Amino acid sequence: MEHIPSVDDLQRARPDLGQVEFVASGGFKAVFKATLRGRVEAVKIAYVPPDAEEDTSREEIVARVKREIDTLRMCRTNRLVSLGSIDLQMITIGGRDYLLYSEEFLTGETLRVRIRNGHRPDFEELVLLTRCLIEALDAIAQIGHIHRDVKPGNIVATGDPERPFVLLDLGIAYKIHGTELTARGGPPGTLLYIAPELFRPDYKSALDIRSDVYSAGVTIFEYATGAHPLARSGESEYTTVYRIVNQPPTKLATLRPDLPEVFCRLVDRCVKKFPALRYPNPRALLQELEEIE
Amino acid sequence: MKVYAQHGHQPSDKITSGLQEKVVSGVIFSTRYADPQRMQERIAEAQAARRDADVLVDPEFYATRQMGTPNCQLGYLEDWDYFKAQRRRDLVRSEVVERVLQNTFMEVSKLDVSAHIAPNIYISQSFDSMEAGISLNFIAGAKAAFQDKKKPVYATLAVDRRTLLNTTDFKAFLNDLTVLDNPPDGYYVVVGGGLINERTDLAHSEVVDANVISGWMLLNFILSQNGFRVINGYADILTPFLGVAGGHAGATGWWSNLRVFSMGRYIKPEKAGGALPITRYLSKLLLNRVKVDELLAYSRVLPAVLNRLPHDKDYAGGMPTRTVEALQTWEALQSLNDDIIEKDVESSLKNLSEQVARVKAAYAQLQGRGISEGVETITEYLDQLSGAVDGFRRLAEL
Repeated sequence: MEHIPSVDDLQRARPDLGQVEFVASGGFKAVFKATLRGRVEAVKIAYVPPDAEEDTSREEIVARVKREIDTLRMCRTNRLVSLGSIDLQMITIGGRDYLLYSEEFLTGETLRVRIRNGHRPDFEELVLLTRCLIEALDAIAQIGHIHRDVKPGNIVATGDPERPFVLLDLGIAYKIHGTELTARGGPPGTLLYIAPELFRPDYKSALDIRSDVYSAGVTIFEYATGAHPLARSGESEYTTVYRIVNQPPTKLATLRPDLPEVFCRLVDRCVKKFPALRYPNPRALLQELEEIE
Repeated sequence: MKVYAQHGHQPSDKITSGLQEKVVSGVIFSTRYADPQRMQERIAEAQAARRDADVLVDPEFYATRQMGTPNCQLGYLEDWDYFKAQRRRDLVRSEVVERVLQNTFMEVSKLDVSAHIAPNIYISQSFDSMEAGISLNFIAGAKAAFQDKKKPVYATLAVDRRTLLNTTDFKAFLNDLTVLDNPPDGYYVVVGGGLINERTDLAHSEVVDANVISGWMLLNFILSQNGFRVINGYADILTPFLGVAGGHAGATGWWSNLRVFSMGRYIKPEKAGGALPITRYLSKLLLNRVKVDELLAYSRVLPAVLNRLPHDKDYAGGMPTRTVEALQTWEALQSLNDDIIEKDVESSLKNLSEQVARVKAAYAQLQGRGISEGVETITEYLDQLSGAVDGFRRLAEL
């Protein structure tokens, strides 16, 4: 995100926040950890450019953040991060406008960190991850939305047996049949996890929950093996896109022959190129997962 | 994979015998060959022959396309109230589609079928067409219009072979088909081979094309993977291929126009009459029908040409009856299904590939013994079958 305010500036603007720490920054939002009335929360802020700035419009940023919050509010599941005590508000820090709100602060580490550390999950953990992730997607699908940015960096392993894996960041969540909120033209999401159909110029007509099922499959595959089913390290983005669109993915059983074949087939089906070959919706996947469990 | 009888002209006791002998598990009756009253009688006969028979009626609404065509032959279709041609520009309105669906249901719901087949139009050219859009509306509305909670509803998907050749449009259609809000319980799929001579046999038909068969297999695979049952009309020898891909049933009948679908069946041939087709024997080993004298000659050289099934004996004494010919076909198909189709697609595909390889080896052996009649056609036919298996693997990402 551009123009990330300093911890001091944020605290000056919101004196009710205590023990403020910078956590991370993404494409259009930054996250701070802070205490508010004795409770630790994740304070999220998004820079809102003046109208005159080209590229990303003010209205678009505001609408995206509002949509993320609305989606979280409507989804009734603890598989998704929940909203905190600060409602959405516009604040000015150092003469710049920001949107600010809070979510619960999740302790734990993202799957991305675990993959980097060489974590090798067993079958039980993989089934748990699949269940949590797909239940989160189901909740999103039930309200007619899709997440569009499922990836290891957006899933937190909390260590809490009640909700061991939690899906974050609905910043580019999309309401099917709703207004388009990513105006930049290319497919939304993080390149390595974008479903092949979204690279087509007419991708908006192909958008449905099966794109999320694909990203979930890639995420589970990568968590299980430490490797992406298609991309190779050090290659160009062009090559990666070519692989995603044209080449068959590695089968999970080839890298994890210790896992039950039925589970490998389930993950392999999620990463099929042709959406109709994937599970039609999260519930169909959960049903099959139940049979495996 | 079940085998069903495809009802047609002159059924006599073929269907009831097939059901009694359990060489078919069900029947797809045609409204072209029976008026409403006769249809009820036919259904009762079928149910008496086999209590657990699957009994369906194809309303053949897609044949309304031929109404008004000079020389159209629609049989009893025009005796059914729902069978009324609609202008295409009217069918683009969803309320007109709903009305056709409801009218059909009103009439066919009086029949004691085990499952309903909802009507649809025929997609003649492309899945990226107005026809395809209308067809999708028929499918999307089928479940709501056929309000019979006790019986499953199969939506008709009737397409010309050419529609399966453009994989981009075909796949886009499948993507839409698999995310409908209130989908039917299954699909009744009919793939047409164009305006061909009705008496052309399968090996010569336009449907026997690697890309058409692999597309038809993909249709079965995707629909079954998405939880739908697929009944394939006019599937004949392709039945085991479609079963490998996940199909629930394949139907065939006793005349060649019941083995390969063509919209040409609703138009009178220029030359009426002519000799009846020669009685044949469906050899599992050859995946093809052979004449009775050929069967004798081939089996002397290669005894495995005979299926070693009960109806073989009916061919030992010369020319069997038409009923026996139909029973023998169904018996052979059911046996092929049992040999080839397993629970998982990979094992089934392996069996199917081995079966096609055996057919090639058998013909090579026959040729080596000086039997070479029609070898070019057969070679082409077998190349298309093996190409279909490879093509399906690619399309289904297996």
